[in-house]
Amino acid sequence: MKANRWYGKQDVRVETVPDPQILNESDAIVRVTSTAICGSDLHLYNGLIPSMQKGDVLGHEFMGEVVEVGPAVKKLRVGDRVVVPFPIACGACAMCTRELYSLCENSNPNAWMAEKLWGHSPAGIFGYSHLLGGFSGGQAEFARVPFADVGPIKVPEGLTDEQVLFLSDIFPTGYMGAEMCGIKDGDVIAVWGAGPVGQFAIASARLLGAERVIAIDRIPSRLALAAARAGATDTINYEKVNLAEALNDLTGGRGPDACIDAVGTESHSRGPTYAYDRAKQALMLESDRPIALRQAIRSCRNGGTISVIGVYGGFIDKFPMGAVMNRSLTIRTGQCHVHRYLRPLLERIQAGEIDPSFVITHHLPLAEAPRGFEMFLAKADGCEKVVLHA
Amino acid sequence: METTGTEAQAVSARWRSDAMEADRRDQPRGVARALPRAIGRAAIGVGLFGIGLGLAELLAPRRFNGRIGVGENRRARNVTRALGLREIANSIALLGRRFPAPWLWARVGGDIVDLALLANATRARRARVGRIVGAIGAVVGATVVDALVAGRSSGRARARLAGPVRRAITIASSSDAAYRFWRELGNLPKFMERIESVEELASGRSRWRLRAPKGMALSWEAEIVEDRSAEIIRWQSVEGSEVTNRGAVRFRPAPGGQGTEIAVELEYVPPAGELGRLASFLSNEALEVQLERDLRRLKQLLEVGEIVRSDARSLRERQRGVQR
Repeated sequence: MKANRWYGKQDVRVETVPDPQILNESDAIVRVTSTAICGSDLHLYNGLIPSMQKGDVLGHEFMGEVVEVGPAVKKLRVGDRVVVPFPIACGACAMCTRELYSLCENSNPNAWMAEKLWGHSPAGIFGYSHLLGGFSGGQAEFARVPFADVGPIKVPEGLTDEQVLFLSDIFPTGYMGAEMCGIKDGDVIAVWGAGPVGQFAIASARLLGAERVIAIDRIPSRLALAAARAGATDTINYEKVNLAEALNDLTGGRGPDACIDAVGTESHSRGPTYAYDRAKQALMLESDRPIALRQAIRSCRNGGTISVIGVYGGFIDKFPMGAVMNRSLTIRTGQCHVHRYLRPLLERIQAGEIDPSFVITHHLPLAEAPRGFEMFLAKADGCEKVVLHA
Repeated sequence: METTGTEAQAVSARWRSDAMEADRRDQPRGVARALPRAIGRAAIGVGLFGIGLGLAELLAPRRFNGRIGVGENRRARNVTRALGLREIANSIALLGRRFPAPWLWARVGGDIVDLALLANATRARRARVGRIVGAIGAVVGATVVDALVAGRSSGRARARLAGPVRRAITIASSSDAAYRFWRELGNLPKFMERIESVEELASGRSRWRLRAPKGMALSWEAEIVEDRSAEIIRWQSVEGSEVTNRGAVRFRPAPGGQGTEIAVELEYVPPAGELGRLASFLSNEALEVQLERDLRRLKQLLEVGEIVRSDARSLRERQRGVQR
């Protein structure tokens, strides 16, 4: 089959690889119909995530048709159309029982590697380094899905791939980011990053009752999309205005009630901190660039919440813990526990409350995945979200 | 308070095996126990100093050479730059290590090279011998510090290699079920990657075969020396075994009805002594990772009924199959 493989920094290639096989009794094989490039794939593309190996198949946002099931699979049948959540979860361990699926204790065969870096290991993830299991990803014609009775959700008739594909990651991730804000009536939420996850965080904050949602980015087309489709009430282009002043103006000097970091480790800014963090990264004195996170902490109102859904990999520098402690801020974070949001969010899509396809700007055949990565990285041609069709 | 302390000690003593306690008695106490941490700090100090020195050499070789009285020319500057790079690389390497001893000894070697270069520099025409002698004094001092820290660090690494390896995991299963699964010794190769087979012998002993690399078939007989249902199994190799080893697994209910906490201690004496251990897959660091992997696999077996395989692993196996 054809698959998009990682070969190094900004080097991915579509090549022929062996078809996936059933390796565990609870596996299913899915023929991928649609798959997407995620912002977190760009961290791999830029070589920021350790333990990638040449030839690894990328992709953790995918859906398709079940073509084979292992002997222990009971709920799925050949022919079912499913969306697959990006974290792999067994459904039986202590973390899965608590619905913390992205922390499944049994799905990462390389848990010892993750323990060296992070102390304890999270769940395995499709196509996201050997640290997180070495599972082949879904930017391919076929994918092997472990614990097939636990993860994949069947898609009801009448919904297109484009409407449900993002249940695999970015819609639930944005939704969890908004949920972690504990939104009450009248709340003002600020969202750093108007990429695809940021768009869904904005939309979800509105769905959960936020009165105002402020989108922060530097790409005009992304801010325009946030205002026109996701439901942002205000937008700030941090390259045009002073961000801290603008946030104070918009909130009567209080600061937003909650701030969502939908940017993560490759944050960008115009100020001297950007150069500072780039230099420290180059010297390997820090692995992540937390510029948006620092801004979010500084500007959040007293007693407010910082919700971190942007991906971080290792260590950050100059973390403003004094602001967090003295101003009673709450930090909530985590890889999305996608499984627990699949059903409720599918219902919202069916009810017409949201159509997630609004973020898609480009459709490409799988064979052009490398071009998709280039475009998405450069944010060229107004690129917001690339969907690949196998 | 007195009571709590004693209780805690009692629990802790029960939790560890007595055999391992005996080892602990031989280990240093008090000040000596605080030493490893101090060594760790000293190594960090050495590393940070090295980065500072290296940056000075790399970025300002002319001024640096002036300070130490070495003649000024292009070649001297390049040598100084190279030394700066070496200094930085070594410092980064040793700062990143839990057991920096080899890198610290490399520093001592580097110091000796520096001394030789400085001695040689005194013969140059424009050398300022007074300053060079001062620099030699400083390097001698640094050499002494590096050697002291390296020596202590090696001692710590040795102590670590000798001790038993420990690891614990919590599994959603009753203590009884987990104990019974483990006590059926034939189950062990199902989750212990390095164990080829365990065969229960009529004598009550068991024969263990190790999956060793490159045809180094290793096996030994072991006997169970303590066995309490749903609580503990302790075993050791019989006298005269090829691989002397002992181990214990303890089971206790986890708080909040979360299942069972399973704690394992393992200790190997490798066939070829300390050197063999360093070279072999039996090194304690490797053994620790192996034990961790094995306990994860046991958890998967008991919680989901099979061992989760990743595509990467199966691909490697398939590739190896092709090569065969």
